[in-house]
Amino acid sequence: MNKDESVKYILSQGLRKPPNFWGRILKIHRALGWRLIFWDLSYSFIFAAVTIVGVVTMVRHVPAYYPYSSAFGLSPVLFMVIMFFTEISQRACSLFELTQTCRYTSRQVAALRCMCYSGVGVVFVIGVSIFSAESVSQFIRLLPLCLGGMFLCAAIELFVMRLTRSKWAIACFSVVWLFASATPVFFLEYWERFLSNVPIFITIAFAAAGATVFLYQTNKMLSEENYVIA
Amino acid sequence: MLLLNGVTKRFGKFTALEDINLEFSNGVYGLLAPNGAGKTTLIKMLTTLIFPTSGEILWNGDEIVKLDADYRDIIGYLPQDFGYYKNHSPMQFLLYIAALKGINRDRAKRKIEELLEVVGLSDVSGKKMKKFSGGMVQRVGIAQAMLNDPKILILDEPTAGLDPKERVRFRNLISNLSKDRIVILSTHIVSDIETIANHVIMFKNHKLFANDSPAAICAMISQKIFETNNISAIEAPHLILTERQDGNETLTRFASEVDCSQHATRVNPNLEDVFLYVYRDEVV
Repeated sequence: MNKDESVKYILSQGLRKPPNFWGRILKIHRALGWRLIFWDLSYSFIFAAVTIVGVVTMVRHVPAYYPYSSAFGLSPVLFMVIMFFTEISQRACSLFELTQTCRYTSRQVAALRCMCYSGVGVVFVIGVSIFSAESVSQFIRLLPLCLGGMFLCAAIELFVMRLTRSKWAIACFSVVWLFASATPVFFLEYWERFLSNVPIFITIAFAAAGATVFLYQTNKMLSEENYVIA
Repeated sequence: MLLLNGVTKRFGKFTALEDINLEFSNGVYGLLAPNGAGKTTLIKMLTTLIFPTSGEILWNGDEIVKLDADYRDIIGYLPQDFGYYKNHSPMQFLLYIAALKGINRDRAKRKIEELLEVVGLSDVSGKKMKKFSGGMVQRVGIAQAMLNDPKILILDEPTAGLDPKERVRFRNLISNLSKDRIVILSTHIVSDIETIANHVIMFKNHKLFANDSPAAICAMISQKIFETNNISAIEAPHLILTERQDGNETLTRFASEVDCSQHATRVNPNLEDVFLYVYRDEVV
């Protein structure tokens, strides 16, 4: 195509602004609807629900001496468990490759699902914060702290998903997070004291930063062109 | 027009394809090469599942990576291991793929009914696919590749698992489809390519070896293929291609650089002969 032809082509098409983040999300949602976004994931959700019930039952028996540490460690659990079961099953499915060649790729749909999981994760975090806090002031500090923890964890998980095509990367990340959350147990007193003394404005900034990084990673998954899956 | 300009693909130190230059316009292109020669690598690059290490792939002058969803809109792809959801019917499955392809539900329903008729699955459109034979699943795969009426249809081993009747039906279908689109077909079944491909593309040592019509490809070894019922009489160096029974005798087909017409009958080469001759060091 020479220069004149290119100019003609551009003029015939008109200048089209590329869709923004929410535009892309809405477009995919409109095309697929909830049912197809979560297509064939019922077993994964059953496994995730059973795991969550197990985790919550175990955590309920832990003495509540360390509300900040336990709530912070628990905050990304729902997101991670759902991601673990659903996205591994999606990546293991032999249709993964085929769906990556469609207009709305498996990766973009996964990004949309992650948005939904983060929504459910927020509700879970609010519940955990209410359950763990003993006073309103403690709740106000704890909630943004836990939200930040969840969003940060979700963002790292999305980054890992973007970085590698292996389904086991998701599993590895969950294990790494488990160890990372368990590490403060060895210096729990200090960790609890540190978390309980973080100024509220910093916890809010932490939550906002976590949410921003998470949205950035989701946007990357939605719009990245040069991505290899095979 | 789809154009590959100096495309090379490396995986670490391993070079899967080197300096491939190809031009595709409407018609059927058969990729013919042994396992590991780079057929699937080429197909994955054409479907944007992987990208060239160097070189470019252009669709009507634009890089396919830059075209992004606009390019994916014009391709139909049937992968080698076609996955499907066992607990869903072809209708449900195709509606799902149609939604991913951005086709609206009403149009998708009409198209699916039409395609299921074409691939002969109308009667079982509501049945769960776990009860389907391999051939039936493969036909669902062909239907999904055709959903968006693609300008480029890429089929990786499409006839695997099809019985002879289904294979003939498939060949006719591809012939009809190729009139106004590019069909790229990768298969081990030489007869499929021989019957329907206008062009045969062969790779050797990870480079383009030939890109021509089946007749021109066969002409590369004309005068070199012979048939005899007494192979032990042939003293000249030769390569045995195939053996077949003809009444009480065994006819051996072989290739030789030397004229063996005194002890054997010279025959016209077919694509299978070319395949066995060209890849004589690679085919066991």
